[in-house]
Amino acid sequence: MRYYKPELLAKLQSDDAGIANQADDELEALSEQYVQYFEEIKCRLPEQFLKCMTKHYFHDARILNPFWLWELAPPFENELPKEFQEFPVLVIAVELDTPPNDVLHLDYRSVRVTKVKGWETLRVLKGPCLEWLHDEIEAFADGRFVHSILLSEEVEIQLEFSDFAFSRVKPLKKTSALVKK
Amino acid sequence: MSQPPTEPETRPTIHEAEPVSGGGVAYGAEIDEAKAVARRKNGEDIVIRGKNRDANHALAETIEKQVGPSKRHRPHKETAGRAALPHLQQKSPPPYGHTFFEAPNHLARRKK
Repeated sequence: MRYYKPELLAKLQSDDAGIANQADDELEALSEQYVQYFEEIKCRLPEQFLKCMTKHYFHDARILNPFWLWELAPPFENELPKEFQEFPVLVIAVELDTPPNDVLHLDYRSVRVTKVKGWETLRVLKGPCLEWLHDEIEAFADGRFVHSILLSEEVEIQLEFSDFAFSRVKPLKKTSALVKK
Repeated sequence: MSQPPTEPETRPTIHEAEPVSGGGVAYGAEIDEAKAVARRKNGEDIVIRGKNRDANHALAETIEKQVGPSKRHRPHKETAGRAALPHLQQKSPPPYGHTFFEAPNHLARRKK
C-alpha cells in the first residue's frame, strides 16, 4: 500500500492524541495524493472497474469469499505455490456495509496473485470475518492493473489483472447476522 | 492592536445517524450521551458534530469505549467515499455500527 500505509493506520489507534492526529493528517494528505493519481489513471481503467469503485463504498465491507484463502492457508508459509498464483478468473464476494448492504461479486480476469500478507491470521480464522479497509489501484503501460486491498487483521492481498467485471446481488438477510466469529 | 474577535468554541453535539449509500452519513435528532451509548450497544449509528475535530474525536471515544474496546477508522475518499466520515467502531463486533465524528472536509448532512 503506497498511500494508505498500514503503519500510519496503526498509529491512528495510539492512545496519544497527538500521535493519532498526526497520523490522521498524514493519511489525509496521502489520500489527496491518491485522489489525484486516481483521476490521472481512471480513463485507462477497465470501464466496469471504474463504475464499480466509483458507485460503491467498500470501507468496512465484509469479505464473504474467496474461501480458498482459508483452505490454502495451512500448508504454506509466505508464498503461494505457482499453481495458485495465476487464474483465468478470480471472484471476490463482498457484502457492503452501507445500505442496502448489497453483495457484490468482483470478477477479476487473467489474474496473478502477487501478494498475500497475513497467512498467520488466515490460518486461525474460521469464517468470513475479514473487513475491507482500504484499496489502491495502479495502472501500467502494458495494460495490466494492480489492485492492492488492505483488510482487517493486517491481511493484505494484491491482484494483478487485465480486465474486470462485477455483478450485484441483493441479500435476503444481512450476512453479519448469520455469521459468527 | 486589538485581537480580532474569535468565534466561540462550540461544544460537540451527539446525533442519531444513518449511513447512506456511497459512504456519507445523515444526521438526525440530537441525543444525550446515555442515549448515544444505548444506541451504540444496540448496533445503531451515531455521529458527533462540531467544528473541533479533536473534541469530536474525544467525545466519540468516550462513548464508544463504554460499549467495548474500539478502533479508529478514517474514510476512504478516492471516489465514492468523498462524503464519508472518520469513525470509531468495536474491535470485535457485535455490536456492529459506528460512532462517526466530523472533521474538516468531512461533514454529516441533515437527514431528509
